[in-house]
Order: sequence, then structure tokens, then C-alpha cells
Amino acid sequence: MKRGLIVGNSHAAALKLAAAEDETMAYDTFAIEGGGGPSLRVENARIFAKNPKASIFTTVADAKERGVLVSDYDFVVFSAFGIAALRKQSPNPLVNIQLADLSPHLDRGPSVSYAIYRDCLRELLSKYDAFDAIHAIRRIFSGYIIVQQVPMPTSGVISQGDSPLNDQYGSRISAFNKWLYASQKEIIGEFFGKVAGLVPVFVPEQWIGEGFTPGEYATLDAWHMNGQYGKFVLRQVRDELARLPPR
Amino acid sequence: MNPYLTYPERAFWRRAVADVNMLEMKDLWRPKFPLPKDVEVVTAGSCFAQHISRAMVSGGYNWLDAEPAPAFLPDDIKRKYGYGVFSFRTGNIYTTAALRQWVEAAFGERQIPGEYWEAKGRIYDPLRPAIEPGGFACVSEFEAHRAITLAAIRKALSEAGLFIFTLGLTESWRNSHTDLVYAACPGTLAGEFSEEQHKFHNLTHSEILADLQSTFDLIKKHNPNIKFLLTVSPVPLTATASGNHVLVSTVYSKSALRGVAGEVSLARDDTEYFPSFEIISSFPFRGSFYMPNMREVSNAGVAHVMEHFFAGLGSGPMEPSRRQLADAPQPSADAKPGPSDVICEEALLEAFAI
Repeated sequence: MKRGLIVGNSHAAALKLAAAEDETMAYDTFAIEGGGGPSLRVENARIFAKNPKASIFTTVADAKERGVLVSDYDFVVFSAFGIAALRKQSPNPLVNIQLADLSPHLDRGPSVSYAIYRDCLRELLSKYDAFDAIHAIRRIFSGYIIVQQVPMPTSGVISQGDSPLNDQYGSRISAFNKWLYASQKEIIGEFFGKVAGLVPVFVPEQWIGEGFTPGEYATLDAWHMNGQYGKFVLRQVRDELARLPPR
Repeated sequence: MNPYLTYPERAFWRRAVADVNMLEMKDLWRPKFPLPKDVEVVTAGSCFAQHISRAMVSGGYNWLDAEPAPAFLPDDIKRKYGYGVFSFRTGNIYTTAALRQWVEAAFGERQIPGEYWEAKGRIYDPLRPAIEPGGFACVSEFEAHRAITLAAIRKALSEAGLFIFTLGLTESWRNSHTDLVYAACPGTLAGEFSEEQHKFHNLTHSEILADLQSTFDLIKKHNPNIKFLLTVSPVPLTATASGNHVLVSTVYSKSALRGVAGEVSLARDDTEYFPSFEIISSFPFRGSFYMPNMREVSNAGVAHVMEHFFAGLGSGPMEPSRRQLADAPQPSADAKPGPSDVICEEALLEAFAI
């Protein structure tokens, strides 16, 4: 049975739940809190949390002290790359800009074009800890690294108090999400799609087209998904590994 | 006894120019009103005006950015989309007719026709086709951004203490039916040229004068305390549509603009003229501030202009900035603009002429 290591932030929870029930692969999880993705340090082919005080959630024994030897695994699932959540209290600067075409509020911070927002998004994602973490793992690991696109929120985001989207887009949140996640998909493809060993897996087109992840996958908030969603992602992982030549 | 006997050295050619090294000429400008550093300054105009925006910021003046970029964007991306170049995202405003059009629309005195240019499914604003290099995604986005910029112009000109406008060109292109003044000839930056739809117009002295007076009067109506500072760009025309030799057309344009700037500043107590044009292009400087193509102004030339600018304002010499500018890499005559270069749509005409 192949062994996979799930590396990520809070979005890895859904995969961890699914992994516990997966009978085709054996998984370990190494997750560190952080909206920009896990901030990792690499030492002797092992990954550690860069911040020694960071909260680590892992199934690997002594991982906090000894790190995780990535070469113990056949593949890595990175969960997840993208804008983890747009929350008012988050330091994410994207909450302070809006798409002019979809927002009637032209006086609330810079209202920008799709092209500018996309450049903002690309710029921000390229500076995410997750971006560095993926490349850091790639430098020490020769197997496949499956990069999961961050999930879209469910429609519960409309009533979620800490979301700025209602204020910014009102009834056009789904249109914004549709554009945001389609753009992130493109950017992830640009970042990782042509790099040997990196394999992005995306939110399905149908969900992007609807602007929300179906509500059945929601957890306590609209941003984080449940084990059912995790199963969906692990199925994507399995399909990709079956399709790809061995490394 | 005659009045000339009482005049200072600066009034006499021999003592102020002929006997002085060109780099040591001084007292070239005495503004008629002070400009404290806390006054909010708005800048707009031709590509040379971009140097003034930058210099105002580096000189510690209160330059008003009424349409700021998302703060976390790197400078090169901000400039790519025309942020931080002028006080609002109009791109270069080369003519007084274009300025009048923007300002009247901003204050609701004019409805700008909804014309837009389309190429490969993207939408371009004919008043600033370079502001979104890849075009807008759709017409509604183009309209939203036009509204944003008009609001920014309204805000900036309603709040500012000083509006610096650099006069660039007299030659312009318009829509034959609606009289919409374009930023550039259709078909150069974007759009498609049509002899039936588009007409060339070379502004006359009286038209430029009327445009400026009307624009300034309108701004004063909304902001009675604002003052104006005019400059004329020393950058020659890239190309002319007048039928004359480009050198002759350049001299016409600059003469007309300089004449109007002088007339307006003489007629209005609220308007001053700063002689950037003379400092770069007048013959005592022997063309030494131009690059080999005799069109682009060198960094040293810009620094020289701004040194006189700040000296006139009583800010003293800006030696560090001058050194920084003079030491900066100089573009070659045919160099493509880099991220820190001025954005000069007019230069694209050259590329289209090949």
C-alpha cells in the first residue's frame, strides 16, 4: 500500500478525516495553522514548523521535535493552496480591495479591475508560506506532490458574520467567488502545472460555475470542509497517481 | 535715470546668461505665491508631468493620490496600471481639450459619450487606452472604472491647494460626430482608425486659452482656494499629423502652449508658470539635457529642472535627489521604457510608424 503524507494548514483536517477511512492508501498528516499555508523549515530532509511555537496537528510521532522525514512516503498531498478564507479580521489584504465590476461600493478602498485583482492575487499567492513550503518539499522529495486547490466556501459564507463579501458584493457573492476561484485555478496552474513532480488538483468546474461548494460539505464555518470533501480530494489524488508514470 | 538701472542681475542677458555657466544659472523662477509643504498638490498632464509627481513626493511635498493602488502591490505593477503616476488614473493628459473634457465630466458639466474601443474581446477606454494594458474585461467594468476616476478627479480638485498641469501637445484626435477628444490617435494604442469617424485637430492659441480658462474657472467654482501651476513639457512631438515637418510642428505646439501659459499666468492671480520648458529646451542649454534622440529628457535634465523648481519654492537645492537622478541608468535612445521610466503613450506612435 502506498504511503502519503498530507501537509497543510487547517484545510488538511478534511483530508485527515477522509484518510482515516481510506483503505487504498496509508496517510499521515502534518498540519500547521496559518491562512497563508504552513510555514516550514527544512533540515536534513525533514520538515519542521518554522515557528517552534506554532500549533502542530500531526499523526507522526515526535514530529514537533524530530520533524517529518518526507522520503518515508511515496507521495505528498499539499492541502491546500490558495486564499484560505476572506475574513474581516484576517490580515489578508485582499479584504481591502474589491472588484469594481461586481461591487456597487466604489468608495470602500481600491476598487480594481479583474486584471488588477488577478495581479494582486498572483502577487499575494507567490508570497504565501504555502508557495515556499511546496518548493521546499520539492527540493528534498523526488516523488509526486499533489497540490490541492483551496476549497471554495459554501453558500453559508453569505450569512457568516466575519465575511466581508456581503458588504462588498451583496447578491453577487457567487459571481465573485466564481471569478476568484477560476482565477486561482489558473494561477495555480501557472505556478505548479508545468513543474516536474508537482501535480495540482482543482475544485471541480461545476462548483466553480455555481460559485459555491455544495452545502453538504460544510463544517462549522463556510470555509472549511468535512470528511466527505476530504474523500473527494483523496479520490482526485488516487486518480492522478494512477494516471501518472512512476517517479 | 531709467527703470533698467534699478533692475536686478537676473533681468540682464549678459550677467544672467551669457557670463554664467549654464549649470550655474540661478533665480530662474520666482513664484508669485508660496507653496507650503503641507498644501495638497495634484498633478496631471503630459508624460513630463510624471517627473513632477515623483519630485514632489521625494521633496517632501503633500502630493495627493486620489486614486491609490492596493497598498501591497509592487511598484512595477502599480505603474503598469497607471497608479501613482498622476493624482488620478487618467494616464497622460496631453492637451487642454482633454483636460477640459475630464474636468467637466468629473464635475457633471459634461456627459462623455459612452464610446469604447474593442480588441480581441477586451474593452479599452479611448480617454486612456493604456491604463489597463490588456483592456477591461467587459463594458460594465470599463464604465465602473471611468466612474471611479471621475470621482477621484472631483475629490482631488475639490480638496487640493495646488493643481500642477503640464501642457504637452496641441495636436489631437476627435470623434467626428461626438467631438469626443481621444488620448491618442485611434489605431495606435488601441481602437481602429476610420477616416469617416475620426478627425485630426491642431489646437490654436485661442482654443487652448479658452480651454484652460474655462477649466480653471470650473475648478474654482468647486474649490475657491485652489491655485494653479502651469508648465510646458520640453519633450518634442514623436510624430505630427499636421502635414508640416515634425520640427516645425513641435515649435508651433510648444510656442502656442508657452504663449497661453504665459497669458493665463499674467491674467490670473491664482495661476503661476514654471519654466521647465525653457530650462531644458532654450538655446543657452545647447540641447545638453536631451538624450541622443533629441526628444527624451535625460535624468540629469529632469534633476536640473526640479532643482530650479524647489529653489524657486524656497526649498533649497535638492542635491541628494539630483545626485540620485543623475546617477540613475540612462535609457538609450531606442530603449524600451522600464518600470521606473515615465509612461509615454505618445512614444508608441513611433513604434507604429515603423
